[in-house]
Amino acid sequence: MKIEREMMRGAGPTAVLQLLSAGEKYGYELVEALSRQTGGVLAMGQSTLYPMLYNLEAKKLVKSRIDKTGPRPRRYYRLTRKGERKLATDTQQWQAVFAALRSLGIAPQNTALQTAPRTATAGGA
Amino acid sequence: MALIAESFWRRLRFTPLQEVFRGQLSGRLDWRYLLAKADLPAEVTDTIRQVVHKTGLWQGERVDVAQELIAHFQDGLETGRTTEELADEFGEVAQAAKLIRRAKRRNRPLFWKALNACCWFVGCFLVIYTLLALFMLFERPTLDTDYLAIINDRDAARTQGEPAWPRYRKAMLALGWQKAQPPEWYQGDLPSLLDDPDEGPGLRKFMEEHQTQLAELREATKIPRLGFTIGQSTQPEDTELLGTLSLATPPAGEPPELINILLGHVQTLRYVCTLLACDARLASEVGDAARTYDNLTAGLRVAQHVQGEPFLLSGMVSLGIEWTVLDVTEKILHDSPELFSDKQLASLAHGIAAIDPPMDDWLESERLWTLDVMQRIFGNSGRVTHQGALYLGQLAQTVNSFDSDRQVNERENRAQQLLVGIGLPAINQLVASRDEQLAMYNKICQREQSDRSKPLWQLSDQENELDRLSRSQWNQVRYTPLMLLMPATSAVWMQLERNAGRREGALIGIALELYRREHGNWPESLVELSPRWLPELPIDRINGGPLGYQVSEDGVVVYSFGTDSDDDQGRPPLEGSARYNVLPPLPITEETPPYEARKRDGDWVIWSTLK
Repeated sequence: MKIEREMMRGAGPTAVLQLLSAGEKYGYELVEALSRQTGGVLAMGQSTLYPMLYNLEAKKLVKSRIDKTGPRPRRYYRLTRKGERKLATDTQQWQAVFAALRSLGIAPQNTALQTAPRTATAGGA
Repeated sequence: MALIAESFWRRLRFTPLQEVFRGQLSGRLDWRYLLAKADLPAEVTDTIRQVVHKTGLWQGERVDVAQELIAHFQDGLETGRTTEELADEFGEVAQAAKLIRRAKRRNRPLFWKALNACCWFVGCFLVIYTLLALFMLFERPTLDTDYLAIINDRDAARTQGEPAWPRYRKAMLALGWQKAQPPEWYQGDLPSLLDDPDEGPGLRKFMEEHQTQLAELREATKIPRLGFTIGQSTQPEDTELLGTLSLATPPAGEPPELINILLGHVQTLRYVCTLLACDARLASEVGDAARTYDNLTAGLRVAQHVQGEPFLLSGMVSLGIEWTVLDVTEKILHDSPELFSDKQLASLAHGIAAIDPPMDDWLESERLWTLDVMQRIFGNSGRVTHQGALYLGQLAQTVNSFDSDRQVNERENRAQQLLVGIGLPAINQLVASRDEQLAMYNKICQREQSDRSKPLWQLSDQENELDRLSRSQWNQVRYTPLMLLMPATSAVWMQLERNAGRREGALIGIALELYRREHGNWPESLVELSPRWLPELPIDRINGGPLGYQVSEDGVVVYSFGTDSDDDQGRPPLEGSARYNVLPPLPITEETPPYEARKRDGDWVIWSTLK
């Protein structure tokens, strides 16, 4: 299922921050993880992912480094302190949104979304 | 990373400058080489090339993006994805390039962002400025009012009947005046020249030989209406006597410029007064009371003719004419107190008392003059026009006499026009609009008139409103046209005070003489003169108190206490003449500079019979 661009714009950065909260990742890893862990709901192409990563970097939410030790040079991204705080805030907001949606009967009461982002403190992807 | 392109020049081209200086030709900015070396399928290579190329980023940033995309596609291919799948997942190339460009630019240093913002600001400013300049260049001044005609019509409506000017003109031409120039023999102060051992005899002979023309001048003064049409005369005799009447002919369809109008007739009337004053002295010497009287009263009427002419310049000339007549009157009454009959003295006093300088009329014509200049500077929108700015520049040169005779060549002229055109929006930001200029003009004039309607002793500040305005450099720029156009009213107000004092002195002098004739002695006090010989006794113009009066066997002295407001028993100042120091009272203190103190320490004698 493909979701609307406007919704992706809100959910995408939080999803990327959540994935990075487990540890640093490079671009392709993120694309794969997003696709795999969200069942393709939040899958995004490079044309969306990389600008998003550059924006997060410009906002100092993530930091990148180039690793030249592998078969090819790769740029790894990791969460900054600011990024962690932002993820915590976003998580709370999303939870509030889900709660509101549940109260309206839009989301099932007893169903935990497999693709729902975990809090920064929960750790792991 | 050290990827080295084969070509030396290519490596040089894609190496950062600081590395070139260090002698390291890394060529690491060559993202195309990097892409070629990645050995990706052609379709993927093309996608990356298009995206990176379209970002339009700096070389270093492109290399980063290219590396990341290359790694991404290589990872994808390694996991067994097909080229088509990867290309399909990538998304739209143009959109990707746009988003990457935007995001990467956000990562640029703050200095670059500030510089970029400045460039945008300057660029936008330049575009708006250029559009404004172009818009303003097309505005033209609206010359819709002929102020010269207004002035001439006003004069024509005020006085009717036969004009005196043709008779003045005829007599002056007969006396040798031509093209606004006096004859060669003429020298400034004719009445004083009579006593000159070299020039005196010739002058006396000339005056005697030209009694017919002098009588004609006296007759001309008796006609109430001067009837000279300024700047527009079609009479060839006017050209013969005055030369040119205007410095420039206006272009067809445009009203004449008041600034170019010459007032040669006013100067001619000044010559008339000098001739009459000289003849009055001559007549008094031979005891011809009637001719002396006629000349003096004619001189006063010349002053009144000139008073009726527009502008403060005419006003100043009329005050000068009155001054000359009062000078000669004072001298004649001093040297020959018995010359005139009582009736002649009373009549002369009435003539002197009738002088009433119409300052408001002069200021009104000055206002029209200012409006005429303003309509040549500003457009209908109230902004300075291109032509107006050039005109203002010429005006400033003329007023300040900056090399005003220098001829500007065509090239300089064009450069000047271009510069003014470019600077027009800035000029309009700096210079106040026409309405603001006129509002300030009116405010200054009203304040000045309000101040000057007070007597001198109620004026504490000698600084006028214009001085106050020009204290601020910002105002000097903002009101540049006003600074150039405001009439020098202070000098005229001061001269009005001086003349009024002398006029009152002459009236008191005549009253004293009439008293002496009736009583055989001088009065003990000036109070005895009123109301029989003076309807109202003048007061000290400077301090508002009674005038000083000293009687002795040698004669009488009537005086104002002067600017120091201290009675010095009629003693003139130690330095200079009190006549030229008619100012609000200012006592001498320890801080007063010595020279200034000597100028103020003394009285302003307005009448004296002392030898």
